[in-house]
Amino acid sequence: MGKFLLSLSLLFAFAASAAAVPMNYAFDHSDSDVGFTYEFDGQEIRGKFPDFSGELVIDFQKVLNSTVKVTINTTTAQGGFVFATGALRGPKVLAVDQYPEMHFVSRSARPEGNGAIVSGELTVRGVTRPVELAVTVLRDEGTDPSERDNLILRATTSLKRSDFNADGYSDLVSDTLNIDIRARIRRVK
Amino acid sequence: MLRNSFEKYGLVAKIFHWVLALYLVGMFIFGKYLASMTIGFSNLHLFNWHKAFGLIALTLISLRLAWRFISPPPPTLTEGSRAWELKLAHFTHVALYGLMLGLPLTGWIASSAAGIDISLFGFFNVPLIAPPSERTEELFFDFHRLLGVLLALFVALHVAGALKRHFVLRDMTLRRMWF
Repeated sequence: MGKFLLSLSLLFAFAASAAAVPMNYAFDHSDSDVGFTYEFDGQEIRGKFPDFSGELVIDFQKVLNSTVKVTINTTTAQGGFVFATGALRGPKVLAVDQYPEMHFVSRSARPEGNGAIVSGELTVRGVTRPVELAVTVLRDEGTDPSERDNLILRATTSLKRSDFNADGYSDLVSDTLNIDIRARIRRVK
Repeated sequence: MLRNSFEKYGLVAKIFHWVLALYLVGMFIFGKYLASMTIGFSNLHLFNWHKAFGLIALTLISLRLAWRFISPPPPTLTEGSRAWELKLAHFTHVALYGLMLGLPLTGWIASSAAGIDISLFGFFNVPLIAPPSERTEELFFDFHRLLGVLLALFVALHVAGALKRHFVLRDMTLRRMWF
């Protein structure tokens, strides 16, 4: 299914005259994928976190009013293949027995290009670090440009495992993780 | 014929002895190879094979020990040996049994602590016997390596003793374990 980019910055340009209207959204888990990629044995492997919850507020007219708060269940994390899943959940990486959740809380958002940069704090293994997510919001092909009820949020960033003490198997697995979140979001009225 | 007698080992004890002898040499080489190989998709399954074969070894060793109690071995031949040699031979036997049990157990504990499932050739997953812990994993893999080296040394001592008895003392010790 094709998607169209909703230009947050373009909308932002009209914000001066319009009143800010923050909209609440809920994540639709049946059509969402909190994914990440890493390198093992010279190949790019894709893993994911199928279980997460969160609150999302988007202000299309005043992006900096937008906020997001997400809790990710680490105990159901998938590493891409059997061994990797065990290693990922194990004590050398996510240590899910001790740290069953990861958290992201946004602190600020600013428009950039066709999307926004959302700055916030990510907590993994009890270690909190600032991260910046590049976020775009899309609508499904064929929908009206004014569509705001049923959208797709994409967020990407790059993290270093070592920043969160999750650097086990560093001789086998790359330190850098590319995070790629694609979430179906539905407006909560 | 199956049970041990006063003069000879029975068939069950002989099979346990020689099968485990080959098995231990194979597992030692296998373990050394695992430790030295460059890990990738093509050889990742070998770790699981080593774990599965190790658990089979643990089962065989437990059965062998049980059999030793059911059917005690013939007495040690003492003629021509000094007291300290007999003591050393006895200690070597105790050490061999202890190490044969300890090696798979430490491997099982370390693998459990790593939090990675142990599959018995894809039939079922073996229960993990230690909570996930990086410290436990490292400590018990260190033990596992140490016990492997100790077992190799005691096997060498055991073989040296058997060969001395066969070629120097020319007694029945080795022959009564053979078929």
